[in-house]
Amino acid sequence: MFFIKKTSLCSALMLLLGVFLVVPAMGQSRSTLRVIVTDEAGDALTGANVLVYDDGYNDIEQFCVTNFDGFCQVIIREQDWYRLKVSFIGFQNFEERIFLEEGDVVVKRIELIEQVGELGEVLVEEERGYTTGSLGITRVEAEDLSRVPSLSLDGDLMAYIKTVPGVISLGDQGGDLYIRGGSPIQNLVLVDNIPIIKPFHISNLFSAFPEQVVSNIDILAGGFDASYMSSTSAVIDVNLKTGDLVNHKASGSFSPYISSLFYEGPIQEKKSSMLVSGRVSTIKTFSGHLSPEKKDVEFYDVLARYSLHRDGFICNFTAILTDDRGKISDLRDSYLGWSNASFGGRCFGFDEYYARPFEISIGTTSFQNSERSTDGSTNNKSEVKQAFMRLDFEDYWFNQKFDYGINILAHTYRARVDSRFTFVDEARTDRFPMFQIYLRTTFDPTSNIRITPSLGTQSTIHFGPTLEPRLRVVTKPFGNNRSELSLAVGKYHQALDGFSDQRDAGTTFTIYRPNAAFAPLFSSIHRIVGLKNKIGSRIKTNVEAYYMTHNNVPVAKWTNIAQTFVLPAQANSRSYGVNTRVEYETRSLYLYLGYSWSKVRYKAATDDLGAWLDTPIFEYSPPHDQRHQLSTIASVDIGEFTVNITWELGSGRPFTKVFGFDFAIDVINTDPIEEPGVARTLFSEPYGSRLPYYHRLDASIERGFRISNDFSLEAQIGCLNVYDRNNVFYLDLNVLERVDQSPILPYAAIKISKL
Amino acid sequence: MKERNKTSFINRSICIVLFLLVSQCDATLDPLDQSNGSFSVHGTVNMDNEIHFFRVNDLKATLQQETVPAIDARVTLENITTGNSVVLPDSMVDFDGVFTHNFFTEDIEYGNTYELTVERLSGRGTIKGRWTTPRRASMEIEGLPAERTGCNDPITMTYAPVSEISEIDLRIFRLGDPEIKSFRPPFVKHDTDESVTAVFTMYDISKAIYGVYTRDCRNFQAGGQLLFKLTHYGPDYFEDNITGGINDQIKVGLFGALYKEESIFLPFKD
Repeated sequence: MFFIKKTSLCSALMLLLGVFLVVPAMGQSRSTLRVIVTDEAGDALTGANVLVYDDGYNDIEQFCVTNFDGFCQVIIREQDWYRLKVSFIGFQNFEERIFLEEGDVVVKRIELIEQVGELGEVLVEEERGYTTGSLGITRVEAEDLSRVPSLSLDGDLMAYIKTVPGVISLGDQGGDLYIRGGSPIQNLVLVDNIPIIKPFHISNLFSAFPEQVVSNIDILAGGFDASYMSSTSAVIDVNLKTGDLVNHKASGSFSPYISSLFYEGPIQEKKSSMLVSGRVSTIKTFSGHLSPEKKDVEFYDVLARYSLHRDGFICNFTAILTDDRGKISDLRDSYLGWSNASFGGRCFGFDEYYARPFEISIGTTSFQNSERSTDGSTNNKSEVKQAFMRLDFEDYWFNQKFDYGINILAHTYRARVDSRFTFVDEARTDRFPMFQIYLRTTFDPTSNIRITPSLGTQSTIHFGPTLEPRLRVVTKPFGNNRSELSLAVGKYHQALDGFSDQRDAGTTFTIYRPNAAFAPLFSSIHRIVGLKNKIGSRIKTNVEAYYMTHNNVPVAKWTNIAQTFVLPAQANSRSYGVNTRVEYETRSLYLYLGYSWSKVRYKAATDDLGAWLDTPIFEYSPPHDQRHQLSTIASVDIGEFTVNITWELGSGRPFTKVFGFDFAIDVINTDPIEEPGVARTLFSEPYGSRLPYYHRLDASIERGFRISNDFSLEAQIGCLNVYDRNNVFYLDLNVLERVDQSPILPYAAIKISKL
Repeated sequence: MKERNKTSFINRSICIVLFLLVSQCDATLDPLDQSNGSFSVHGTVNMDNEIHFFRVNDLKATLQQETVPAIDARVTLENITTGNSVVLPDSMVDFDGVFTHNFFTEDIEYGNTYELTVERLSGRGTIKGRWTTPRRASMEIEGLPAERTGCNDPITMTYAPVSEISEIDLRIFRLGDPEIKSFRPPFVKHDTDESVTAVFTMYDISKAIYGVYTRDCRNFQAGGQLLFKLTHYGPDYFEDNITGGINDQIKVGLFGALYKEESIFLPFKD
């Protein structure tokens, strides 16, 4: 029945697509210029400036900035000759004289040529500004990933993201991220619109996204527009690179902690390509030899991407497999595991025969996580499967650009749990279809203000349509492009619910489930204001202040007595803080300083949380409430060598102390001489104390060698936790012992590449 | 100039050494909350017993603490009503290397106020708990109905003397039935004569135990005897720490005094 419904929905969506592709836009008496910008290898260039001047180069008639497909389009109202200019940092400018006829749709595919020299794009921005609208968004390029030492020659998203102000991880194990107060379940990771749950590896140093497969990554730490639904906290939107459409390239790297193979190359030159990356951990084998501590973790990831480029469309088909297993604490007989199998395709159509550009995405994901003990007493497993089909359009109504789309999702949840999670009905399989629709527009009331309102709604059989208005405003307070003052507000809802025992940092096992019927949804309101500055050509600063409220966040009921079972409760939370970052960059030196001050508070009725307190309302700081966070990155080229250094400092996170131990006995009904009573561990005020400060220095030095015209070799030596600081991971309340993060981890890595 | 460079080098070296020293420092962590709580006491007194035990646990000693069998605690019981004070002896018991400490007394009187003090030899972490034992009370029942009549006739139960803040828990069963279903009559307190009364009918009892029909009441009446189980809690009684605050240190455990009574009644007049 469910399958039939899904098929019908997909058919309806395809019909909708057909209608939209042939029905012309309203008032089609103008010229449309569609531009695709790529590099010489065919990889899309995101963020390239496309400017259309009058024929005398006096005024800019229209401009746009390319999206992650390298695409943008402009509407020209008068038939005439124009000058098209395309620029992108590090590439030669492209210029062409074009004639646009009324009613024409012209598609230009532009291949920019790499340039070694001055950064031309900066000048273009000076000529006519555009606002990046990047409030709350950290765009991470592949090169950024390489600047953070990560036990490997390939940089990785996971190693980098922890240096972003406002992103907290509870330690160097577990693969969970907390962004601006939101919990891991509130984050959404997208790859080609495929929602992937927890693509982060157990070691907290690696993700499924190494540097060599990434084009760029947008970390949207709140305030994002309605084209992103399904998340109440943050979105990590990963744009994978297109496999090289011209040259065959391959590489293999080895370090004592991870080994990888990579290939990219054309199947049909400049028409289609393949990219394959595979990595497998070797930590379990080598960790005991190079560092004082043996790590019982292992993982792998495989990513494959087929890209098809035709004159009127670009399609990418992606497959991602990840698998993680291991212990995050040697004190516990608890093996954690999670795995992902995700497949999807995304096609972007921009041909002149289409009435409007469109994008269609379709995919399926399967995620499962587990927790088991060697003696079999614990054997928990929870899985969630997702399938989706999404349509996105770009259109002009009443001379105003609109983006809109519809997304149909189907979720299936299943869990098999032991008596610890008594509230879960494991015999039940939940099927959960969902619709999401959004509409977004952008307008510039003056040359210094850009306003982007958007509206989204989602509904399922369990809850009615939500209303999620969002607004982003960007201004240029000084009338130039060197400063941007922005604000973003919005309402967010989320149906995917996940529950883990936050009282116990020794496990990350999460039970995924749909929002209960008629129960209040996860929801949040984001408010962000930010100021971005460029000082000279080398310094960039960014300051953002945020205030976010989250409602109906699932938390574990807290009892004063340690107990094996866990019960869910709901809390409301608020988080606020200031994130700042300063970057200095020259050709051979990159310096970065990020600082975050934040506060996260959860609040619920004491009865709901079961806490041992006198007050009717209980308010507390959850374990991810890190008040201060400082990150520094230094990357410098010295001759043939590149030195990368990061230093992180974090204030202590909250934890719960033990109030005491006793043997409880009912001395009336039980003889205390004959019976010891029930052994109890009593907890103190939940999260009433703080762990010590955390700090860690990581460093690496690398050098490349040219072996021949076709092959190169890179070698790197490095060390994580250089001064072997005993940073506390968490306090294990079961055995009352502290669990430390990784000790000093020296490594050497080598990589051979076929150019 | 050379001298300045030398000083600068020394300063930098000192800074680096200090940095490394500081960074090498271990991040110490005390998992035990030393600022709250010192002992827990499980010391409910049943007035009917001859010996009364107070289980005292050192909250800051782990449950596997085998090396120190003795507890650093001096337990004193003071009868506030009479002014007498006595240091209680410890009957330490070894359960496979885990020692429990049960301080005991035989001298507890009805209707008196006591204060139990548990203190370390150093005097730090002293906790005190005060409670009053219930007075011995008796029950009178009026209006038990005649055989096979009067399911709705009022029965009045009076229990006295009962202190203003004492609690009475009365459960009525049918003798011989499994004690799963019972009737709990609602009590009304009368502060003037320190009594409590409850007014109910045989139908109320029958309904709670069997069902709603009157014929059930009559069968019930004819079928056997009633068992009255009464617990008289003294003031300040509590069963667990859930109701107490974390800073109310003595309220970790079971504490207070009570006594229990059982009576058998025919469901009709003799």
